[in-house]
Amino acid sequence: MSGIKSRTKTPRDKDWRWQSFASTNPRRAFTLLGAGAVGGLLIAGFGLFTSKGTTVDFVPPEDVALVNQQPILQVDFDAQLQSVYGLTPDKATDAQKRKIVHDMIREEVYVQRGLELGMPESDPDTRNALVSSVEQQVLADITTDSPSDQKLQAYYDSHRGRYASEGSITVTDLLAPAAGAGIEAAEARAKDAATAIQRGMTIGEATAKFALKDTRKTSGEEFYFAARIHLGPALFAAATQLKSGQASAPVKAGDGYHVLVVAQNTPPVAQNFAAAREQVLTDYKNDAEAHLQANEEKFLIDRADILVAGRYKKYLP
Amino acid sequence: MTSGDLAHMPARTRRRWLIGVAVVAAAAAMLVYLAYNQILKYELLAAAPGAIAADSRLDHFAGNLARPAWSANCAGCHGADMTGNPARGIPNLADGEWIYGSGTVSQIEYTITYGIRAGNPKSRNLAFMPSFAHPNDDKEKLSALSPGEIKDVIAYIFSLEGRPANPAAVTRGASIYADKGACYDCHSPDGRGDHDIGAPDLADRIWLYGDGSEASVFNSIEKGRAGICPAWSGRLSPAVIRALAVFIQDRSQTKIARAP
Repeated sequence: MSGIKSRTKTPRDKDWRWQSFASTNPRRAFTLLGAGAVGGLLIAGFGLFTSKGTTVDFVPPEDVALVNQQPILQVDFDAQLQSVYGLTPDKATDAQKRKIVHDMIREEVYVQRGLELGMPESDPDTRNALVSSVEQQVLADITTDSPSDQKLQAYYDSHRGRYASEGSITVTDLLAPAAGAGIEAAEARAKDAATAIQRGMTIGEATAKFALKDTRKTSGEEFYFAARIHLGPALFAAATQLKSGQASAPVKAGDGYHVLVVAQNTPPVAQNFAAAREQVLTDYKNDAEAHLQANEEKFLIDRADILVAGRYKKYLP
Repeated sequence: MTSGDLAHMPARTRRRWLIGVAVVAAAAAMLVYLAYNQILKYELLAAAPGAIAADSRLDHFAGNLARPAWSANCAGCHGADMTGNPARGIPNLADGEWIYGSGTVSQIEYTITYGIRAGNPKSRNLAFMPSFAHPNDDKEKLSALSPGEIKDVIAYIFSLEGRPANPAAVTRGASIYADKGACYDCHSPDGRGDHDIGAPDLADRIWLYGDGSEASVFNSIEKGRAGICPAWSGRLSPAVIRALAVFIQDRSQTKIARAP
């Protein structure tokens, strides 16, 4: 402000004017300062002495009502109207709307009363719902996250074995029972049957000729997982080694010797990243959720003041 | 201050006064603009959702409010043109077909607010597509299906669409659809889906996942599906969510099919 010559003027000066900003005016400065301070104090005092938390005396436009300051959202009202009457707000009658408003206010006051009564501490259903809600809330960010393709690709690369199509197999399980002729005779019959089938004998002929029994454990073409359950791990492993049209060497089991005849075997085919992307995303999120859930649980337990009776201390994880 | 005072002021002082007046006027204009915006937001929220499109002033305001929010939050998945991405099961919002509800503003608003399987207790989360190529351990105890059975069900679904299919397979598939696979339970006995729980219509030739080929439908039945949409409540204001719902509803009227 160089070059500006000013001096403090007082009401005694001839050219003193309160509203003139051409000259410094201490009275004006103090008056405005005082007015600002008083105004600020009044606003603060009003807020302080009339405040009840975030109490408001009007209903925000996104709400239908406030029940003890808890909002009933318009979007929930619309959804309930749709759910109860199958109507949008512009098609519902006043009576229908009145009923929904009443129901929602009723629900809200009952929920608030439930909290007053400590229902979350005593009611098992409420507790289960709370646990479930908190679990979901904790995981919400991961659930709705959209990880980059680079992250998913890295995950895919480190878990490549997981990403394959589900294999399928059509297999017949023939049993040479050990009961009766004995285990050695059963093995011999099974060997002969396997050789005959490999040379072109049909399953029916082999079953009849070598006194075998079709266990009917499988039924037509099955996914690998189903065949594994139906045959058991040992027979399944033997079956999956075979190509379409092959019969296995006899496989010893508790009930005798089994010969597995595979009509069709389509082993799992490894999927590239593009084909497996959806599954990779699911697995990525599942792993992240499990990790986060464990951390959250640890955090909550660590911060809780937990006293365990002496006789139960050995059960602490 | 009078005009005479202003005329007799030194030039520098007068300039300062004029700048001050301009600043105050600009601030006042800004305040008026903000206040007007607030009024429009209030009107947007207070209006009946279904009536907004008919009010050109509110509809225009909703579009202006929604466009940047769409670009910042929704376009990443649904695309700038809202036609989605079938490779990731992201629905086309511009084709006028809806998975949840019938596409009213309030239904869209609910989905945006609470999401789909988003971890919010009010999310749309009543059903998911189970995997039929794995032992199913969910409460429904659905049976797994064999590859042949899945192919039969696909033949039946294709017949619903009017596509050619082996009649014997269609008959077997219809039986599995209505019995062992319990597909009817979500997709309804006639295959038209259930918009209350988000089960897609299987007869409308619109495929949420993939291109509708046998391989892609097989993949969905084999592996199961459960898409998600984030809950935007708390991240976007109620006015922006309402504006997005109006914007999406407007756009859906264009009925743009996804590019093949």
